[in-house]
Amino acid sequence: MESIDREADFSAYVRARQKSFARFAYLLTGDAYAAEDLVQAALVKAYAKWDRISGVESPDAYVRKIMVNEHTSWWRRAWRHRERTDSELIRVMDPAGVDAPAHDGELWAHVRSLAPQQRAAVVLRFYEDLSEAQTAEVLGCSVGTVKSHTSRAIRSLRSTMKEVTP
Amino acid sequence: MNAHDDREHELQTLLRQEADRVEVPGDFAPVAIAGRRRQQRTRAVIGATVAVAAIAVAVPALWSGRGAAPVPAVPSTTTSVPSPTGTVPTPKPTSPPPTGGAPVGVVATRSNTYAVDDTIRVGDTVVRLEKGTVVESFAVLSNGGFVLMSRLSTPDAQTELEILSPAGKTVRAVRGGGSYVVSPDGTRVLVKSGTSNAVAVYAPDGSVVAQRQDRREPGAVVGDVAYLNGDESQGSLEWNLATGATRRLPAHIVAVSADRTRAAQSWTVPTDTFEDFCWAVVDLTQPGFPKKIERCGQKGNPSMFQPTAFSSRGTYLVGSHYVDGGFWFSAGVVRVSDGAVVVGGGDASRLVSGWSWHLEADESTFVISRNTSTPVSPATQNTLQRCSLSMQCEQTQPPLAVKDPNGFTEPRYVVPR
Repeated sequence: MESIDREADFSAYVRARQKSFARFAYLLTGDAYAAEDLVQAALVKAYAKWDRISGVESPDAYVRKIMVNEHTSWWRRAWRHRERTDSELIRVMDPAGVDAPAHDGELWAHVRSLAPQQRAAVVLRFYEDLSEAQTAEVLGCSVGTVKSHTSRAIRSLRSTMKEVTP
Repeated sequence: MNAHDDREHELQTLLRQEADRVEVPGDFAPVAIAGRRRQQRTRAVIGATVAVAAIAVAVPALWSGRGAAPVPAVPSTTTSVPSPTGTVPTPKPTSPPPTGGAPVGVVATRSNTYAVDDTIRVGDTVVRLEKGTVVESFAVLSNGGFVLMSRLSTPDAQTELEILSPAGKTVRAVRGGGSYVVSPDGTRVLVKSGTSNAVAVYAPDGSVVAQRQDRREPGAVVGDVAYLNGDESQGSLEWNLATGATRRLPAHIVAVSADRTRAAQSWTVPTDTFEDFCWAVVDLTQPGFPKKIERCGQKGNPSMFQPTAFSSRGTYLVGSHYVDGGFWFSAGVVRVSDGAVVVGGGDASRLVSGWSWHLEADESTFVISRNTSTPVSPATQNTLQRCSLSMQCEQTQPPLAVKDPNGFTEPRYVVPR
């Protein structure tokens, strides 16, 4: 693919999907700045391999996989630097749902405290609505591991909620 | 609906509520494309080869070899170097910027040359580039001239690749920028156009030594042999510039030792982990090019070292350890014999953060345009340092505030490759 076509093709794809990626990244990281970094880092990598990625059936799955791996690798490293010193690409609005259950904050805090792989499994299963097999594919693990991640997460959430909800 | 389903449903609702709060007012596409380009530039910048031992007598020899008279020395192109003190030094030339004359009294080498903002400093001599030039990388050639990859500081400026005379006059411009490597002795520049498959080798005076059409990227050039880096499907290529003969080599060759007996490979393993980096050294003198050493993946190459060059005597591979992003890099040196990490790698305490650097010909010191910010990210401060491999460092030029155009940090100092 010629450079200009490649750039246009990639740009069109990103513009169509960036909100979805940003939301996914926010659920993985729980932080707007980190989410922005994660999307940027993943898209830089995706662009580097765009000739390959654009030809596959589901580029989204590929990008999500990069994001999950990148986020996990952040945890493995002792340090990380910010991509940009400003942050204008992602904005997290104040909670608008006045009817939201009172324990949401607690539950969200607990989701954020899950280990990266466990949280990724939860987000992929319950936000992205992926099957266990699809989640396993993205995480690069077995279906059994996905089941174990999600059930353990649910169990721990249940025990947390017992503390919150009488 | 049982309790487990309830919990799942609640979790699903929560995740959707949280996700719905996220808006994207910006555009990630240009940022990602720019980020990738910067990664490539950073990677190109960190290449380091044997120090160019430029000597004054080489200048007339090369010029006369082209059939032209040696360029007369024009003293008006030089001025003494003001010491940067936290702001951009503003050299005050005694006459207009150079237009073809050679600096007097000093010949550029890797050791005595660096760039700061839109000037190249050669000892006490200033070579002024076009005002507003941002030097992305440069190398010193055997005649004291330069290969310069640069752009103007305007928002949409394109990167340009040029070969300059010792006085800073353009003797060759490569359309559409591109990528380049320079031979250890500084007599050959291997260039791939940024807009086509044109590959060419130039002499320091800008004349064409050889050219071909090839999709591969510049890997190395040593003497009259060029090495093009190809992927698994193409393989790499050895190209004899004198005879035109070619020989297919293993894929992913990014560096060749000065004696041409060994080549370094650098590649990533296409697995789910995505970031398993590998490097190896192959023997170019043996049939089948056997690997002398290979380090791969999380266990074998945990710092994700990526080589870009051999040191002068081939003791080390120099390159970088992986850094997410790419607006500064993590300098890395590994010993070829056993793969031991000599500089960088490991945890944050071993991090050597900067933007450009080279290992000197003595194989024991390196010069680096270093990120001396605390903490290192976001970068705020840039200093020129000379360090030993054991990380005893001395400041050779004072700290400057980094530039921060459009939120991307950029260094002030650039060290030749």
